[in-house]
Amino acid sequence: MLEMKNIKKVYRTDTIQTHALEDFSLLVESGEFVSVMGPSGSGKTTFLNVAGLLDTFDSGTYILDGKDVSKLSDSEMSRIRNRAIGFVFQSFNLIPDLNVFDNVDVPLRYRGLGAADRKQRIERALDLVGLSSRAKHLPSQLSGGQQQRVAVARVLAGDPKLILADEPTGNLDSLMAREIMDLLDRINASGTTIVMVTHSPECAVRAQRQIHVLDGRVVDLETPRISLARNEVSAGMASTLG
Amino acid sequence: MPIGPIVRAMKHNRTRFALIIFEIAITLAIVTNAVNMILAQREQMKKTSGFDDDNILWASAVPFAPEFKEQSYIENVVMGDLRAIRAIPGVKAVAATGFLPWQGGGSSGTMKAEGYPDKFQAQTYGARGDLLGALGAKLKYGRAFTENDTPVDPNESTKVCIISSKLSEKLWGKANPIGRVITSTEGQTPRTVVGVLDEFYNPYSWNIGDYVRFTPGRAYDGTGSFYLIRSEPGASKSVADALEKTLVKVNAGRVFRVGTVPQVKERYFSGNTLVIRAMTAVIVVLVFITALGILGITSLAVAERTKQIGTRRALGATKGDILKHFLTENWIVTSIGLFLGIIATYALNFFLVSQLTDTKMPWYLVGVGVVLLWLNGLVATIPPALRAASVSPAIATRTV
Amino acid sequence: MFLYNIRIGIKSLRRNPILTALLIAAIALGICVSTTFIALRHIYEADPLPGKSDKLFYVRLDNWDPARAYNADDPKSLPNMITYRDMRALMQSNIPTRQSGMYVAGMFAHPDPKIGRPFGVRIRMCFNDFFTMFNIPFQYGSGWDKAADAKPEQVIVINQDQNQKMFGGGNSVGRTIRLDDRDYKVVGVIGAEWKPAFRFYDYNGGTVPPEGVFMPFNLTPVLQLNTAANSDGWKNQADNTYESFLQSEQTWIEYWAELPTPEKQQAFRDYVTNYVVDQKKHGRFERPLHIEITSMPQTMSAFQIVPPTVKSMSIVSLLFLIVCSLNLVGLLLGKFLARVPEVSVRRALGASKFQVFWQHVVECELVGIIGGAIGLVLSIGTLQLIAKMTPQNTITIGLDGEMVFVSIFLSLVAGLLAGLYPSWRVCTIAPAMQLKVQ
Ligand SMILES: Nc1ncnc2c1ncn2[C@@H]1O[C@H](COP(=O)(O)OP(=O)(O)OP(=O)(O)O)[C@@H](O)[C@H]1O
Ligand SMILES: [Mg+2]
Repeated sequence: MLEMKNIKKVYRTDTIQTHALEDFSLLVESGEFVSVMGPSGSGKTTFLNVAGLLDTFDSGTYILDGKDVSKLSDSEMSRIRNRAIGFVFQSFNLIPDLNVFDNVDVPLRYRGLGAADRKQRIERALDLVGLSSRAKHLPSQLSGGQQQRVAVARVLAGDPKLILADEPTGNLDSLMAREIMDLLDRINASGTTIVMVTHSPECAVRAQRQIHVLDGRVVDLETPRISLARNEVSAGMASTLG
Repeated sequence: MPIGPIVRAMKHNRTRFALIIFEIAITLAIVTNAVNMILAQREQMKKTSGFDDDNILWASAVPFAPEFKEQSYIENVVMGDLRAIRAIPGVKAVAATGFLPWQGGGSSGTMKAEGYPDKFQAQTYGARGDLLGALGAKLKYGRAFTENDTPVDPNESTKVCIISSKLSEKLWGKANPIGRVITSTEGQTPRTVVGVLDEFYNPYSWNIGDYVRFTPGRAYDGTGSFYLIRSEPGASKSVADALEKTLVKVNAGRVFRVGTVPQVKERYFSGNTLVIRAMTAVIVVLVFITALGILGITSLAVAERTKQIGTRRALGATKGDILKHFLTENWIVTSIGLFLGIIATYALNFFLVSQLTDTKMPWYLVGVGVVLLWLNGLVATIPPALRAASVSPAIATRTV
Repeated sequence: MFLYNIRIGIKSLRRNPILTALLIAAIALGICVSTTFIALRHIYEADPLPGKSDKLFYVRLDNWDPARAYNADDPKSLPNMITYRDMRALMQSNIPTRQSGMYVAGMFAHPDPKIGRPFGVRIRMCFNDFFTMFNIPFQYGSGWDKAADAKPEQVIVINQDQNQKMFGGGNSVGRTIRLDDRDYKVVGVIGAEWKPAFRFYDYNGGTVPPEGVFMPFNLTPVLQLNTAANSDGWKNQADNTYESFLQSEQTWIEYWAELPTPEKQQAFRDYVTNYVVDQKKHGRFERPLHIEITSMPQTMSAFQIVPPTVKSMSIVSLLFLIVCSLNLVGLLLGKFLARVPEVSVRRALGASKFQVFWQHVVECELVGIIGGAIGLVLSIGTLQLIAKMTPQNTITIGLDGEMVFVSIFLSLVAGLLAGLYPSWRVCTIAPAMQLKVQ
C-alpha cells in the first residue's frame, strides 16, 4: 500500500535547516494497522505529511498504492487525498462554521458526488460513529470525543483505502480515546489500511505493528506481530481502567 | 460550486458579511447618484450659445476724464475705438454692445408683439458695428444691421430689431417673422423685425435664456463702452495683447479691461466644473476605499481561516476549489449588497430630488454601477483568495 | 491605567503596520471628504451674526405688474428688492431700533498718482445704522453719524484693501480721496478681522464678497447715482428725468430693519401693511397684498443661498464617511478577533471584561484621532484646491474654528462607533472557548 525508500525532508528557515526525515524507509502492506511512535520532534508528523501528500519531500522514492507520487501535480495530489486517503487529526480540524452533516460532506463535495449518494454516505457514516442525532449540531456544540468521531465519520464517508491519523486521541481523555480506537479497529477490520502516530503506548499496542521513529529515521523494523495479542491487551487495558 | 454549504457557513460570519454588504450598498447608492449629478451638470454645460465662442474677446472702457459728459465726444471716441480695433491684425469684426455671451445675465425688458396676446419678457441689447460678425452668428431670415439703422439723433429710437428664432417661434410660430413688429409695453416705439438669429442662448436668472431682441444703436454712454471682438482662429492671444494699447491710443482717459469669452464661459460654468471634479474624486476614492475594505476584510478572514483552508486542502480540495470558494462567497455578498444598493440608490435619489437638488435616476446608470462594483468586488477578492489557495495542506497537521 | 491602555494600543497598532495604515487611511479619507463638503455647505449656512441675525429683517413688497407676477411662472413670487420711494416711506417709521436702505454703486477712485492709476470701486450706499446693525468692527475711526446722513456729508468708510489701494495703508481717518469728480473724507477704516465668506447683507446677484467703500445713501439724489447691480422694473417711467426714476416702480433698493422684540416685529408688520394698504388707495400695489418681512436666516433660505449641489454633496459626503466607518468596523473586527488567544490570556490573568473592552476602545480612538488629524489636514488642502477652482469674487473658502471642531468630533465619533462593536465582541468571548475549538 505504502512504500517509502530513503525519503529525505529538510525544512529550511532563514537561520537553520532541520532534517526532519533522513533516509526514512518504510513499507506498509494493504490492510495493515501500523502505529508510529517516537519522541517529540522526531519527524512523525512530517512522515505523515509526506505519506498523505500534504507536503513534498526532497529525495527518495514514495510509491503509494503502486503509484510513484513524486511527479504528481498539485491537483492530482488533491485528487488522491480526496479519494484514497482519509485523515484524522489530533485537533479534529472540523470546520467551525459548518454543522456536523456539512462537515462530513466536505470531501464528498470535492469528489463531485451526486446529492443522493452523498446523503446516503453521510448518514451511514454518522450512524457508524453513533452521531446521527447530532447532524445539525455545530462543532462548538460537541465534546472533544464527539468532534473526533465526526472527523472519523468524515473519513468513513469517503471510504478511503488508507487512513492517516496523527495523535487522534491526543486531545481526549482515556475513555474517549478508547471509543475512537474501537472505531479505528472496526474500520481496519473491514480492510482499510491505517497508519497512526501516537504518544500513547495503550493506543499503540492496539495496532498490529509498531514503528519507532528517532531523528527522522525508522529505528526498528519489527516483523509484524500476530493480531492475537490485540484482544489480550485491550482486555488488560479494560481491567486497568476498571 | 456548492452554494448551499457556503451560504450556511457564511451565516456564522454574519457581521463581517453584513458590513461588506452595507458598504457595497451605500457605495452603489453614492456612486450612481454622484454620476447622476455629474451627468446633470454635463447636460447644462452641453448647451451652445450659437456663437463662435472660442474666438470672441471682450474689452471694456470706463472713462474717468471729465470730457466724457459730452455726447458727441463719447460718440467720437467709440467710433475711433471701433475703427482702431478693426485695424488690429487678426481681427475679423468688432461691435459695441452691452451683450456678453455666457455672462449668466444681462439686461431684459417687458415687451409686446403684434399678434401675441400677452406681454413677454426677453433679453434686450443694443449694438453698434458688425454685431453678427463679432459673434460669428448666422441669420435664419432677413438681414444684419446697417449703419443707417442707427438714427443720427441720439434721442431718436431705432426702428428695427433682430430677434432669436426661439423668440420668433414663441411669438408667431414657424412663420417667417420678417416685417412683424415688437413694441414697448405701452405700445410705443415700434420696432420691425429685420433679421432672425438661427441660434441664441445666454443663461439668465429668469427662464428667458433663449429669447433676445437686439436693437441697433448707441449701447454706450458716459459710464463707458463695451466691445465684442472676433479674431481669426489662433489670433486670440495676439489680439488680446494689442487691445489695451490700441484703446489707450484712441483715448487714455479711461480704465480698460480685456478678456475672452472662453474665460467668461469657464467662470459661468465653474460651479458645474467644481461639482463634476469633486464628485469624480468622490467616486474614485470611494470605489478605491470599498475595494480596500473588501480586500482587508477578506484578507483577515483568510488569515483567520488558515487552518480551515489547510483542512479543506487535506481533504482533497484543489487550489482551484479554494479560489472558487472565496470568489463564490464574495459573489454572493456583492450580489446581496448590490441588490440592497439598488434600493438605496433610488431612496437617496428620491431624497435628493425631494430636496430639489438632483434629477431622476436613469435605470441604465444603476446597471452600469452594478457591473462596475461587481467587478470591483471581484478584483478586490482575488489577492486574498489567491493567498488562501496557496495555503499548504500541511497546515492541517500542525497543532496550534 | 489610561496611559497604559494608550501604550498597549500603540504597540498593537505598530504590530501590523499595513493593517494600521489601512485603518487610518479609511478614517482619514472619510474625514477629509466629509469635512470638506460640510465646510463648503457651512460657508453658506453659517450664521453670519450669531445671536443677532434673527432680529434683522429684510422687507419685500409686491409692487409688480397686475397682469403677471414678478416671475411669470410662479404667481407667488415678488420682487427681490423694493422701490426708492417705498424705502423712503419705510425709513419714516421709528419702530426699528436701527434700519438702512441700501444698494451698490460704482465709481472711480483717483488716488495720489504716486500710489496708483485710477481704478473702479464698488460702493455700498447705506445709512449710518448699517455699521452697528451688521456688527462691523473698525480699526480706525467709526461709521459716520446721523448728521452726516442728514446733510448729507461727503464721507466714506473703507476696508483694509481699499485703504491699501487708496492710501497705501495706515490710519487714513481724516484723509480725502477723489471718487469720480468729488472729494470724500475717510471717517472709518474697517478692521482686518472682518472677512465674511460673502456679503451676508445682500443676496441679489449671488454670493460675492463685501464692497470696499461705504457712503451715505442720501448722496444718491445729489449725485444722481444709478445702481451698479440689478434693477427690475415693469412700468415705463413718466419721463427720462432722474426724479421720475426715483419715483418709478423700478425695484433696486434693499431694506433691512433691526427689530429686537416680537412686539416691535408685530408693530412693524402692521406699519408696513398699513402703508401698502394706503398706497393701494393711490393706485399702486395693484396685485393682491403680499408683504414678506423675513429674518436674516429666513431671507437666506428664501434666496436659496446654499447652492443645491452643495447640499447634495454634503449629504453624499456623510454617506461616504459611513462607508469608511463600516470599513473600519470590518477591519477592526478581523484584527481584534485574531487576537482572541492573547485576550483570553489577559482575561485569565484577571483583566475584567470592562478593562478588555476599554483597552480596545482606546485603540480605536487612537486610530480615530490619528486618522482624523490627517483627514483634517487633507481637507484644508482640498478646500484650498476648491478655492483655486472657484472664480474670484464669489466666496471666501476656508475652515473656521467651528468646522475644525466638527471635524475632530466626527473623527472621534467615527472611531468610537466603529470600535464599539468589535471591542464588545472581543471582550465577550470566554477565555475557555479558545482552548476548546482550534
Ligand atoms: N513547517 C516546518 N518548518 C520548519 N521546521 C519544521 C516544520 N515542521 C516541522 N519542523 C521541524 O521538523 C522536526 C520534526 O517535526 P515533526 O512535527 O515531524 O515532529 P513530531 O515527531 O510530529 O513531534 P510531536 O510528537 O511533538 O508532534 C522538528 O524538529 C520540527 O521542529
Ligand atoms: Mg507531531
